[in-house]
Amino acid sequence: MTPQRFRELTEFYGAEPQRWPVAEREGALAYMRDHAADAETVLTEALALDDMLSGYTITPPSAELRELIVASAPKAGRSNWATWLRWESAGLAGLGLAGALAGALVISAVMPVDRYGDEDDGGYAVTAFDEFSFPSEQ
Amino acid sequence: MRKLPRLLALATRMLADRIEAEDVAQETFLRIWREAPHWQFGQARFDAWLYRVALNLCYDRLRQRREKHMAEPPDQVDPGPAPDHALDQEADRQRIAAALGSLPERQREAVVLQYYQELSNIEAAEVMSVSVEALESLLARARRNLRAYLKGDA
Repeated sequence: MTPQRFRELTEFYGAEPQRWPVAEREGALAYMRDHAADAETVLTEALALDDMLSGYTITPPSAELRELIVASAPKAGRSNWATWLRWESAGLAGLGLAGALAGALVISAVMPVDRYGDEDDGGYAVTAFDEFSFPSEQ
Repeated sequence: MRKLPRLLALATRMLADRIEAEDVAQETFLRIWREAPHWQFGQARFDAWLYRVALNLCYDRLRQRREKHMAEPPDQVDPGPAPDHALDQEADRQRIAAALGSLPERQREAVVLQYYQELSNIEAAEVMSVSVEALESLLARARRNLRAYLKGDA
């Protein structure tokens, strides 16, 4: 990690290491340890902007909006929510989506997780979209 | 994973208008319905597609604004809770929203995806269909512009 690249990382991604590219994070952290004074100077400016940006929070979607979206789901999809969960838990999701399940897919994405259980305990909290997660960063 | 809050946040920060953002969120889910029967798991980057759909809908609305010469940002960015003790916080929120709104659209998109949506550089570049180097260039310019705006605005 060169001083120039360390500065670039903060200029691109800010001061928080978890936002830095995984492939460069360890090197950047080592640079911080070995060049603490220089790193602090660079980080201070980035951190000031990060702090301001973090103040722009967004109010969560209202229950009314969730209901509107669910209400606009195809009826077959809505009634097949339980079916979708069974398919998903059985690993059949990998075969593709049937049209009738499309509505259930959406419902799984708009409903609050706590309606179906804790997100950490798997089960009902798992949604179809989890199948589409990005691959790990190289 | 709940996608609606993230989609709504994405659209709100891109559009600086809560009502329009809710419309975009609804339209995005309608698109999902239409497309879902054709999706094959594991063959497509659904997350990337989802972000792209929402962003394209945002761009449609931004284009409509330009065509209607609606250059002025809406008065109300997001009707979030603003009790008395949170007035300063609300003012900060509106200030950052205005700063984001002042960015060129691609720079705003880069910041929203990388900072607020917390996508990795590779993920954000994929959604934006650019190289990581191009993304970094957009981010650097965006952060420089944000800093300048906020300094001038302070």
